[in-house]
Amino acid sequence: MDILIGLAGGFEAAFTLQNLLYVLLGVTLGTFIGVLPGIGSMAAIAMLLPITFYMPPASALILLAGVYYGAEYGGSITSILLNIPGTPSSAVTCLDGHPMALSGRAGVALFITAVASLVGSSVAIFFLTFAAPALGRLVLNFGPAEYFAVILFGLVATSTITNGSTAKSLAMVAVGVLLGLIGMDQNSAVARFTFGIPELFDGIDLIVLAMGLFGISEIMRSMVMRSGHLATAKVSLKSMIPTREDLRASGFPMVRGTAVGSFLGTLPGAGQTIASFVAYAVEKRVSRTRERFGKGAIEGISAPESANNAAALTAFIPTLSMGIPGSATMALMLGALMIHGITPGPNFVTQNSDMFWTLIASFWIGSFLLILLNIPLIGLWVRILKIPYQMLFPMIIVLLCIGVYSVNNSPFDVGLALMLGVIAVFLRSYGFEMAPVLIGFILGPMLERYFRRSIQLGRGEAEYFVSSGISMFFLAATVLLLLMAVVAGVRSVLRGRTESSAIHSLRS
Amino acid sequence: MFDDAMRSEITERPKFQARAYAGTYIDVAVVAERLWNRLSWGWLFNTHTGSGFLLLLVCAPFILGLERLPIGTLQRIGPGMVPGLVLAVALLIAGGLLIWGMFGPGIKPRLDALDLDWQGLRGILMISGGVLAFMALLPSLGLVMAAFVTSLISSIARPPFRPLSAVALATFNTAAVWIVFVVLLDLHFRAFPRNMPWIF
Repeated sequence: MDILIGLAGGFEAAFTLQNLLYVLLGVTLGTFIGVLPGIGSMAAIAMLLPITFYMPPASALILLAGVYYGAEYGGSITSILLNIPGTPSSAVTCLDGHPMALSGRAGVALFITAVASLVGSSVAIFFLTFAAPALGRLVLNFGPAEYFAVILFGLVATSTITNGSTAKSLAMVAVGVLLGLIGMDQNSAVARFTFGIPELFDGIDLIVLAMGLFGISEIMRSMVMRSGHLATAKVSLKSMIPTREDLRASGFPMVRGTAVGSFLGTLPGAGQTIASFVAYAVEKRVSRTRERFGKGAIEGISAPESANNAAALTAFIPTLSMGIPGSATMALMLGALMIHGITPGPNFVTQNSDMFWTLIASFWIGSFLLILLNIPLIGLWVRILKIPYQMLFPMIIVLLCIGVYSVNNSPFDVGLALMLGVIAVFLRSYGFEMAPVLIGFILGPMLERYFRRSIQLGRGEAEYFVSSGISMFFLAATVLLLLMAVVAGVRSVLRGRTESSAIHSLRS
Repeated sequence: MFDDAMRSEITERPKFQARAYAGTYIDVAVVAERLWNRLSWGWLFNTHTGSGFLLLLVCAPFILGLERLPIGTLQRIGPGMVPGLVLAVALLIAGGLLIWGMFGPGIKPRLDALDLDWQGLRGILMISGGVLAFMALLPSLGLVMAAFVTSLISSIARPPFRPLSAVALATFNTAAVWIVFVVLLDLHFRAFPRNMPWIF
C-alpha cells in the first residue's frame, strides 16, 4: 500500500508543468544527441550536468534521466538508418536493423524499437518500484565490511562482465580508483598525487573526467569515422505500421529481452550494453530460424532494444538503494545527486521518498513521451541525420569546452579534460575501455573509506572482513569472478585465439 | 583506423613479401625476408606490448607520486596503502600484457601497432588546438572570441576543410553560444574582452 501511495504522490509531483517540461526537454535533447554520430549518452549527460546545478535536485535527475533514455533511442535511429551505432548499447541493433532498413522496412524497425523500449522500461520501472525500497531496507544493516565487499565485487564485476578484455578493464578500474584518490586524503591530510598543483588538491572533478574520457575522446575518434549513407531518405508515418506478423514475431523476444535486461541491469557493472548483447545471443539461440539473424530478423531488434532499456532502468536499483552505481552512466547520475548534497544509500528511499517516487513517475512519463515524440517526429530526426557531420562537430567541441569551464570557472579544468581525453584516445585504440575508469573513480574513494573503517572496527584483524554472511558471499563471488576470468583467459590463449570483439562473435 | 576489419587486414599484411620462386636453390629473397622478420621489432611492438607500455605510461605519475606516501601498517593504515595495492594490480596487468606480447603465442609482428593514421592524428591535434585556444583565450578575451577561434580551429580536424564555410560556421556557432549562455542562461562568463566596455 505504501508503494501505491508513494507512486500516486510521485505522479502528482511529476505532473507539475515544470517537471513535465524537464522530461520533455531531456528526452528531446537526449534523442538529438543520440542521433548525432560520435557522441553518446555519457557525453550528453556530462555536458548537461553543469546546467543542472541551478535546478532543484528532483528536476535535475528527471532531466538527466530523460537525456539518458532519449539518447538510447536516438542511438538506435542511427544504428538502423546509417549502420553506425549512436551509442554502444545500440550497436547490436545495427546487425538486423540496418538490413531491415535496406530492404525498405526502416519505418517498421524504428517503430518496433520504440515499442520494445517502452515495454522494456515499463517492466523495469515495475521492478524498480518494488525492489529499490526492499533492497534499501536490507542494506540498512550493512556495516563497513559488507559495503567493502559489495564495492569490491562491483569493481571486479565491472571488469569481468565486459565486452572487451578482462585484464584491460581491470587495469582501467585500477586507474580509475587511482584518479579518484587524487587530492587531499581525508584521514591524514596528506596531498596525494597532486604534484604540487593547487587545483588538484580537491581532486579531479567528476564532470571534468567524464568530459575528457567520453566527450573529448569520442569527438577525436569520430574524426576518422566514415560518414554513413542513409538507408532511406524518408521515413513516413505510414511506413512505420508493422504487419501483424511483425508484432507476433517480436512479442516473446521482447519478454525475453526485458527479463535478461532487468536481471543484468541490477548487477553492478553489467549495464545495458552487455544486456543488449546477451539478449541478442539468447534470441539467436532460441530461434528456430537462426539463419535469418543478421539479415533483418525483427527479433534481432526487439529483444536487445527492450533489454537495454530495461537494464538502463534497473541499474537505478543499486544506485539509489546502495549508492553503488551499476554503470558509468549511473556513476554520473550519482555524481549529480551528490552535487546537490544528496547521498544515495539505504536511507535514500525513506528519507527522500518524495524524490524517489517523483523520479519513478517521471520514468513512466518519459517513456511515454519518448514514443509520443519520436513516432510523429521521426521525419525530423531523419532530417538531422542528413546534416553533414562537418557542420556539427565544431559546435560540440565549443559546448564541451564551455561545459568543462563552467564547472569551476577554471581554465585548468579545460586543459585537464583535454589531457585526459587525449590519453583516452590512445588507450581506446589499444582496446582499453573507458567506462570502468569512471566506475573506479566513483567507487575508489568509497572503497578506501570502508576499507579503513573495517580495519578500525576489526582492530586490524583480517577476519573482520568475513565476519558476516553477506560480506563473505560477496568476497567469495569476487574471487569466483576473478577465477572465471583467469580460466577463460587461459583457455583462449591455449586455443591460440587473439581477442576479438563481442560483436564479431555475434555476427558469425 | 578503428575498424576491426581494417585492423585485422593490417595485422595480416606481411611486412616484407618475397616472391617464392619455383626452384630448389636457396632463394636469397626468402632468406632475407626471414631474417628481416626475425630482426624486426614485431616481438617488441605489437598490440599487447603496446597496451602494456601505454598502461605503464599512465601509471608512471602514480608510481612517482606514491614514493612520498607512507604505507603504514594494517593497524594504522597510511595514505599510501590503498593506492599502493591498486597500483600493484595495474602494474601486474601491465607486466602480464608485456610478457604475453613478447613471448605469447600467435602474435603477429606488427610495427604499426598504434592504429592511428595521419587523419586520426590531424583530428587529435586540431581538436587539441581548439580546446587549448579556448583555455587560453577565455579568461582574457571572453567567451565570444574564444568560441569563434575554437570553432574555427576545430573545423580543420575533419576534411574537407573549406576556409570560407568554416568562418561562416564559426560565426553561427559563436552567435548561438552567446545567445544561449550569455543572454538566456546568464552564466557568469566574460563575454567580451576586458578593454571593450563600450560594447555593452
